[in-house]
Amino acid sequence: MQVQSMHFKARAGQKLADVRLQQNLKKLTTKFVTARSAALTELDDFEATRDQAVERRMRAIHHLDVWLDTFEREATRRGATVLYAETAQDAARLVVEIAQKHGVKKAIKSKSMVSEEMQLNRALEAVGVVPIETDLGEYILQINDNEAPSHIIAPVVHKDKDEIADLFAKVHQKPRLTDIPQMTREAREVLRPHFLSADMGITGGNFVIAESGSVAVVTNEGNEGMCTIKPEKVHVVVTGIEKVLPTLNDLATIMRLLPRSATGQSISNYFSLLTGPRGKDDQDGPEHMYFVLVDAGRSRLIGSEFEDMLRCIRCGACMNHCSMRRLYEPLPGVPENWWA
Amino acid sequence: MRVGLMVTCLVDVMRPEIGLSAIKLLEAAGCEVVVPEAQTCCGQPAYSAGNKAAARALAEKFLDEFEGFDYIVMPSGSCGGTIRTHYADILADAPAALERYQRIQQRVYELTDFLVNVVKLDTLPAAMPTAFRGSVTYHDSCSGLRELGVESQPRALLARREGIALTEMPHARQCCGFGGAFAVKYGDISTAIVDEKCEYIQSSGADAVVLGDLGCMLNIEGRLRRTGDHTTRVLHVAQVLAGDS
Repeated sequence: MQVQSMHFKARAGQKLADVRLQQNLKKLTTKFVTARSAALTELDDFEATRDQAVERRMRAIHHLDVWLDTFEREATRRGATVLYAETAQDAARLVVEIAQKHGVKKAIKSKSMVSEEMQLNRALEAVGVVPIETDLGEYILQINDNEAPSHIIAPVVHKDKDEIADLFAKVHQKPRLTDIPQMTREAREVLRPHFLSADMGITGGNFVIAESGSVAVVTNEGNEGMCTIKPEKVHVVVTGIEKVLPTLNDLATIMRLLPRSATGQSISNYFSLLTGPRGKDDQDGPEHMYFVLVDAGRSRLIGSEFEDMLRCIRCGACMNHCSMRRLYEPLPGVPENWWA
Repeated sequence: MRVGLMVTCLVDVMRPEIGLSAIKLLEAAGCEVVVPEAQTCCGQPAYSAGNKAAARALAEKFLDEFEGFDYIVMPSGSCGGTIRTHYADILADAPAALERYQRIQQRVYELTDFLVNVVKLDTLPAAMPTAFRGSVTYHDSCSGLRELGVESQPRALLARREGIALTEMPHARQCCGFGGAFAVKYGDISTAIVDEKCEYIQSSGADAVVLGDLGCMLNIEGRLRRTGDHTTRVLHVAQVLAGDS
């Protein structure tokens, strides 16, 4: 994790002068803002729902030790292994150790901002494990020389179709396509063999649920299902310690807000609640399931003036609404500015 | 009802006519308006720049001048926001002043909020023959909106002004990019943000943008003029409601 804030002013000036970048950012973030406003009207009382969500999140945060213990107990009881990492580096090391223990050669990843914070891909590559990003946006960034995501929900929001068409033609060594469905199909064809040959799946966790020992994962592309079901050996969940929710009821309240605020969807295309590794009567699922729960400074915020940061549900709406943020995008390295 | 009018420094220095419009509105609502002459600044610039000692001195001065009134009203959401929501922190190390402040905190109001929710002004003053008439779009200033909940009040009052039609711009709640010293420290970012605001204002097709804060007002008007828009008027809500311009 590199601190780059001292370069902020100079970089902001460069980014503002980039007409194409500004157009790309404005198009998509404006769309998100409009879609969110419309989706919020579906709730009888958005403000009250949000207040309830705040209360539920803070209840978990204020007794984080208790809920983490409960989560660990319930997840362990269902056959998963729960590990804690004090720093982002520790977390990366734990995932590397898991990969090595199970002889993993290739790991497929669903979108995870915590894995960015951990610089997980770099750590895996260092020991010869090939990480493959399978979220389309993250895949685009990975094949563009591991570029950093610029938005926690829409990681490649700063690029337009033409830039991606150029990139695909160069990296895939195929004729340049400009039709989005065709481009997506081409990416699918590249990713498919990776889905079928990986031994480990890595996902983030939007939330982990104490009462059931589960992880909730919200996606739109279906790649998460491939990452958690297809690799037979291992599924590793990496997420922050503050993401624990006491009950499934809490999750239900927050799920009323998350997709609506994130992308203006009433519900995401895919929503998985994963509990434990493959049981003896299950048709599919990994042999081993691990949770790597990352602190990396989060616990120090409890009781501080920044405590409210811990209740963030990572909808990313602030990134669409804030004029500041829209105008200097992309972030000079996400991890030092955002946890997700 | 005796109302102390805090004119605010920017109104006093840059647009004193807005102070006179505010007086006209308060008097139309039946208030006895007093303008303490020695008043200066609420302390916001010092506070946001990190000079808490200077902010505290100004907060204590404000208390000396205004604590005797039934209500304290100002044509500004950001000064109102500073006093209503930040003085507790500014005065945290001055217990005696803090106690005095706590006695008046709930009597500090932004002008339109006061007119709608306290005195419940029914009839706006008669408009001058030269008063502005036409379509307006309302810009929600950050502090007024987010710290004081000023949003429906100015719109409700504007709806009562004859000859004024409200047309909402897209993203009316979005910042104008001023942000006090931010505009100086990060001039290019501030400019990009105000350009976006100007685009929204122009896209509404309104003859005038109306708002309740001088910082936004000077920033938006300055940018419109520098980018060649000499027709879109920029008016303080008090001026329009008082029928003064």
